[in-house]
Amino acid sequence: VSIKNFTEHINQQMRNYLVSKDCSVVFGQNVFAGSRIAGLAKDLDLIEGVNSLNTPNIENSLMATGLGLMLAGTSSIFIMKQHDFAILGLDQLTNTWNLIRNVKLNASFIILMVVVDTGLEGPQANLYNLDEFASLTRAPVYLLNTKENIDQAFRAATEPGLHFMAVGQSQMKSAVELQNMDSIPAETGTLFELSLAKAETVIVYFGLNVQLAFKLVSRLLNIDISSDVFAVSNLLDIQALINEPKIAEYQNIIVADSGKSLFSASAEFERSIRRNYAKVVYLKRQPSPSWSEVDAVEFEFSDSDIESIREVLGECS
Amino acid sequence: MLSSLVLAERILESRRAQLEINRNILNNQFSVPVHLALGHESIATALSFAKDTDDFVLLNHRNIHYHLAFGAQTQELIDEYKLLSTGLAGGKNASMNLHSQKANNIYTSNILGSNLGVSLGVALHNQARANDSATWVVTGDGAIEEGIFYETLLAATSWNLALLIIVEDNGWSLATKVNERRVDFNLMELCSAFSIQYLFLDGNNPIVYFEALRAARIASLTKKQPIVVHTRIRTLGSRTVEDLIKGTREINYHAGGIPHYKEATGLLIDDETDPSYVAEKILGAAK
Repeated sequence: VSIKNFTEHINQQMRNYLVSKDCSVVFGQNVFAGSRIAGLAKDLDLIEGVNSLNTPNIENSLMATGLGLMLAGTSSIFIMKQHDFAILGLDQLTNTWNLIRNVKLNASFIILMVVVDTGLEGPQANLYNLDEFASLTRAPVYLLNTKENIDQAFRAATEPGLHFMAVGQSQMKSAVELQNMDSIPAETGTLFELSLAKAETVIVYFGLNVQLAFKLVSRLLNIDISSDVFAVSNLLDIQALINEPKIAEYQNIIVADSGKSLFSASAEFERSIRRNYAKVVYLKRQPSPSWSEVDAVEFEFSDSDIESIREVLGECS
Repeated sequence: MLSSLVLAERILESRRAQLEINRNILNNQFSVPVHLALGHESIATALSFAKDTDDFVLLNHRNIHYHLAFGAQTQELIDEYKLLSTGLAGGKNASMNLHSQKANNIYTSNILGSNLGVSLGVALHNQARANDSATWVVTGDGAIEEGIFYETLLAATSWNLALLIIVEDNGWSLATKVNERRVDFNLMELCSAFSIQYLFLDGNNPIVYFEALRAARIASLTKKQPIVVHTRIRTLGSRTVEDLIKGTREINYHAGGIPHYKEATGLLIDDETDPSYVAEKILGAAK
């Protein structure tokens, strides 16, 4: 049995979503030409009964198109090659959505964005600011960072309304089912139990590349700290995350966020849980011009990060 | 057969209703801004008869004339502007976002040009479901300067949408005339560049407008093409202001109350730029 990668699994979920509707539309720029967004949109235009549009480069209008379809009662997916392009539709995502969110809707609109998190695009086209979209729209932004979280996102998107989904470019060709790793789906994310004995520490990861959190687990083992990973599934429902029973099983929390938003859901989460846990460490990208340079090293946990964890959690293992 | 008398009566009803609302504005009865549409009644009245029940309509911030043409009661509008639950939209949408399911008015935006993009999705919905219904979107000559107008023309013609774009052209954007902010461009030639049919309406004759809109609707649905309906409008209720640089000048009416009008007739201008004048002429000729 071949193991699917993220792209194939998301493609399958989109296919399921589109055929589940009595009428649906899938659209975007270059989605049915060339690589089809590195395979994300592969063959969606061949599904019988599904309307597909390879569109002009009119991002503002494309956002509005999805909202108009939803308002009229037709569900759709807008597949976007780069998260950056969503900025061009912010008027629609705020003003139009502000009005129609109070209307009784019978359809949903998914905006699927590829976040260029490889760091190779240069000073532009490297947006990784999903928190701002959650804040501006008060719509869920789903992090497609695990198979379980992908499945959960598409289940949620059957509900009428606006749904953002984001996948990291760095992960698109990676296997979506991780071998030799126990993953447990939860209400607000996916828990990976990585330690033989029950760990006291969990890394609550906000971002699109859960491998970064796994790397941190390995580095912490070198200083005798055993930890599990909880991959957060969406950036809107922070209260549910605060109450997440799977996280409550741990004594110590490391909150790690690889996004670039200055004001973030992870910070809100960390602030809220600090009084409930014995020890909390917060690791977050800090504003730095180096992120916007070509070949900028993407988020990794530095020696000083590890040292700060040792200082706080040093006594536990 | 629709009679021009019916249309003329409807125009005068709209005028009377707006003047009653104007009196409320002048008496500070509303806390929300209201954009009257004195001078815009002919196109709205014609559309109310030209559209089919299932056609969708998307409006902009100046929408009172359409609501009245579509059958809203004056008191429903007054209550809406007072944010009362007895208002046309239950007091939830106030003035600039007022939309009503009564006339399939699915969306109304107060952001310049925003409704154009949304109309693409609504028209695409009809196309995807093979509905024999048109989508009407109302905009103005200010909004056609926005990038989304260009995008909408491009998408609507590329996607073969049955979309009718009504451009109410009063030559002003707030207190700025067209020639004070940009070069004049030829809308017909712009449409031609997109292979979009263009229709120009002037003179406020409601039966002429009705027949033109009805024919445009059929053509849009039959040919599966967007059509731009460009209508010349004189927004009535202008005022004179003292400008430090330009001296005394007349400024177009934008929003709020209008203190000067003929109480007896409701007329603001005694010529065909005032739809009420045209309506009175039609009714007078029939007597």
